[in-house]
Amino acid sequence: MASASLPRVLCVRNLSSALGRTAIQTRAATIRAWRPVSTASCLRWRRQEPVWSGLPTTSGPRVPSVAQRWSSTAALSLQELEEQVLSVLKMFDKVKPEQVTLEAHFINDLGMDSLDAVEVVMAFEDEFGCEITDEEAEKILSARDAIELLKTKLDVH
Amino acid sequence: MGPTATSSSFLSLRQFILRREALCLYRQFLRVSRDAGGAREREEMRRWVRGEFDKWRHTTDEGTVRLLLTQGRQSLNDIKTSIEMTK
Repeated sequence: MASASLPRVLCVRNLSSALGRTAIQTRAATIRAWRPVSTASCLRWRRQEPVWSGLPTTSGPRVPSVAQRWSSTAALSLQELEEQVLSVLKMFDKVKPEQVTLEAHFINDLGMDSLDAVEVVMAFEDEFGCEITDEEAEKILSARDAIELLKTKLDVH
Repeated sequence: MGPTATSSSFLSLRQFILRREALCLYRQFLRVSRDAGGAREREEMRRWVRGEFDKWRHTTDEGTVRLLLTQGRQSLNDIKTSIEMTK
């Protein structure tokens, strides 16, 4: 019976209407040309140059993530880790860069909400190419917390 | 008079657990969005999911939150399936 294939079709239809417009078509095209993308190139984050230059088909310039830059060379030093964590925070568009310090609390000092905090932790994952579990993520509420965790994950001294 | 839902910073244990579940669900959505295509598709999906979460941000009724979480998980599974299919 045709009913067996029906749910899949419905599913796509629901999604495309939920996401709107031609999202599915463009997505299908881009997934074929998929490559890992650093969050540094995510639109939401401040950057010097535009992520894409207005053309949906071309991919814009990409900033290599720390994982890509450092994987084959020397290990990250603690100072570099600190700088990198702070710069990820400063790029977050809801945060005033001048307020970012190692000790600033994401929610109390930087004015984020709990969903923003989730997004920041995801950005750390992208930037440093590591996986952070739900339990670990819940404890990251300042740059210092992130550095302490990433130190052990990335074996930084 | 029923219990009043104030925006008090004190959460009951149940509320705390539900809040945690909601944040985990949001994280799962963001994880899935990594496979959603390029930076543009990813941002588009993030904005949509974020909008949905923000819309219900102040919901305190436990039943409603449970329902929303169930719908959210369903929606996450639908998206996962769709992304698998386009691969």
